[in-house]
Amino acid sequence: MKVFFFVDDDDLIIKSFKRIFHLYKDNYEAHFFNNAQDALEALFLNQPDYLFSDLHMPGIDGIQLIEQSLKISPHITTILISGDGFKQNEDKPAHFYLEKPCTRDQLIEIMQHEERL
Amino acid sequence: MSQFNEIRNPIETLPLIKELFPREVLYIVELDKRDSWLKDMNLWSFFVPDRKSGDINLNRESFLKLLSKEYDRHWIESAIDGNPTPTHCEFKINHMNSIHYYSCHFIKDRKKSYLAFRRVSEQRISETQNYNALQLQSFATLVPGILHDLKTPLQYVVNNLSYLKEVINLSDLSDKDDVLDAVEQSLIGTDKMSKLVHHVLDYRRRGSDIKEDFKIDAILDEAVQITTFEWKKIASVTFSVEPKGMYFFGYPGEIERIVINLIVNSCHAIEKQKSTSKGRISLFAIKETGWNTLIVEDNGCGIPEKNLKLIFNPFYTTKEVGKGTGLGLHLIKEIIEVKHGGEIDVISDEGKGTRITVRLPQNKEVILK
Repeated sequence: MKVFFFVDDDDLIIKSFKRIFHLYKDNYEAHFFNNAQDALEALFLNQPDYLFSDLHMPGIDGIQLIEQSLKISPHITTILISGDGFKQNEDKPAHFYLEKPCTRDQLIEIMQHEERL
Repeated sequence: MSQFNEIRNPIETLPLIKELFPREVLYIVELDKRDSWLKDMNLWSFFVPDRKSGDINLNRESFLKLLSKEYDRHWIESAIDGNPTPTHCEFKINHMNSIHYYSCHFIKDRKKSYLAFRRVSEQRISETQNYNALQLQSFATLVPGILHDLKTPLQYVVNNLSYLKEVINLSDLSDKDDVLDAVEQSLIGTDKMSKLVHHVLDYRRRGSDIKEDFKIDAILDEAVQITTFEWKKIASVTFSVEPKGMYFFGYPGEIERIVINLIVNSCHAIEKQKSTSKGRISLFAIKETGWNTLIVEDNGCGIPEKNLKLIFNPFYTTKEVGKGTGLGLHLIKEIIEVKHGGEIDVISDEGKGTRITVRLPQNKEVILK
């Protein structure tokens, strides 16, 4: 079973993603964090295959989180989520970019796409 | 900002100011409940010097009639009531083919309120207009932030709705179909909201620094989407691009802004027409020899022939304050002619509609190829 981390500083977003992924609990093992620090610490315990992270967060932001996570476990597929749009942001470190609001299907699509590779 | 704001004690200072300035330049009235200041004939000759005393009703209503803009009338009314915001207003009085500009300050002390009218030059008024444009601009810079903040709630609303949809689907509710309909329709709503937010932000993001080849259909589509709110109730908007997928050459951001402004203008013209049938706005992108041509056509109220040569004048407007979108036809003309080396052409039939043709030069390098 694939394991993913989902990091967003907005608790309502976390709760809503928890809900929509609860129905897929047999396919994915999901871990949710409302700050980057907790996610980084958890990286040592659970080895996620995917890391979805919000871009703007207080403290460690999405880019820093992805950079540091890739140092800890380089095999993770990273996805940066933001409301900004990413037209001018190609230099950012993530493997994939999603724009808010995004759907569960988009998240799943990325994970399935990766599985096929 | 003005010398009047510094008046600490108007009771003492006003007579002094009145003495310093001749009545033709400055006129100060004391406001009261009975509007008795409006009975002062000298005040009227200050505003309409060439009108004979006999044919004026010395009352508030006919005073307000002198002002052409709804905003100014509203300001004067609230000043008379004692609480105008801001405390200063500039307006023009258009009388007997001559236009006079006035600035008006509201002054208040513990007991009384005053209005100080001052004749000003056209120059001053345009400075104020620039200031208003600046205010509008600073509001415009806030918009992306506001839209951005909308995305987070949108995200969890969308999530929760799709969660509800799935849970209901699995349930055995008696009126399951109705509930599903309700959720489904809400999802359509959030989808529309997301698209609109994306469109507006994309539009904002589009820089206008580089001249480039761009697909005109994407620009037209986005302009139509962004202006949906303006035309939805009064008109239908169609656009056609021939040859399909054709490219325009220029600054895409500015061209889009122009298209948006032209659509909004057409909407206002259609509203003014007050026709019973629905309005129609058609956009065409076509190729002519040497030109990429964009046509915006509507069946609105049209422009009277005498105004046709005025419409590119920077101060020309027939709209009320707050109705303009900020660009104005003179700026559109400037962007087209100066920045693109193109031309703009207006044909209008009063009561029937208007057709605006924008010709932009084709990319010479492409032509050579």
